[in-house]
Amino acid sequence: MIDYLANDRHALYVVSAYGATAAILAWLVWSTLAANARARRDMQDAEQRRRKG
Amino acid sequence: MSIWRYANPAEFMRLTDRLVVPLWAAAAALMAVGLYWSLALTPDDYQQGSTVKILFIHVPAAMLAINTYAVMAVASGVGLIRRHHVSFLVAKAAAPVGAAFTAIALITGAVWGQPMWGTWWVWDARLTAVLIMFFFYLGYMALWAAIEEPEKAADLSGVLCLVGVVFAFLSRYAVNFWATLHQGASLSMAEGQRVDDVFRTPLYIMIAAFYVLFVAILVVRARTEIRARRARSLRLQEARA
Repeated sequence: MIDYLANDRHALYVVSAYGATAAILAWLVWSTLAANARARRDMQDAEQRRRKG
Repeated sequence: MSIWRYANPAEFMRLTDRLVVPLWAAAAALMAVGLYWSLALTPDDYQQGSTVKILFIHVPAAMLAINTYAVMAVASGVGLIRRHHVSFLVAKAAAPVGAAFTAIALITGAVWGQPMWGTWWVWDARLTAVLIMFFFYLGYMALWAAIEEPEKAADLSGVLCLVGVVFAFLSRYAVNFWATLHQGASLSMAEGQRVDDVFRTPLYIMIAAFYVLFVAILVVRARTEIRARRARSLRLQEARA
């Protein structure tokens, strides 16, 4: 990997493209799971309140 | 058994409950194999050098950018015609995913274009159509966020989505209509012109990985929208009582 980065003249382009893709996909997956957990909690709270009330 | 029973939120949740974990696992496995094959096992191209490796993420992202819009358009059309809430929610759930894949396609395309074409960007028919489609994704999400009444937001954003179909169509077919700097479809070309097998196999694996990841994210986001809608409806009932 270090050899590749040091010796390939296009290495920076390839690493930038994969880095940007990894960052966007990581944000997409994280935001998806976080929003899902929040929605699940909200729905459970609302259902609990309804059962109690 | 009718497909419309899955328009019932409870039925959709029940069906997808069993799919979520296998979908994440399949996406992770395919992505791991695809990345290893693409980065470690494929040689450099004789003309493109190592930048050919960028195409293993650019091509699947570009395919999904267009096909996610098609999914949104079909879901919006079904929602507008048959008044199924789940259809609208699926379209809403798909928008950020499509926008993310479009952003990846635009960024990786620009990063590949600089060393290969000598420029980050040209106002080429396909590139411009994809950029406009990206703005339609953003506009669609902004419209959903701007309108408080969900029924009205669903209808108006559904109409906006259908208007943007022309740019999704142009994103796909611009290379067939005009002589553009962007190359034509590499995967469907005749034998002898298309991508060599040494690149094609890892490319197919990466395409599969991106598609499975897309379905996994879409399913979880659709479930999130259904839960949020249910919580909102329960809160409204509580407020009225």
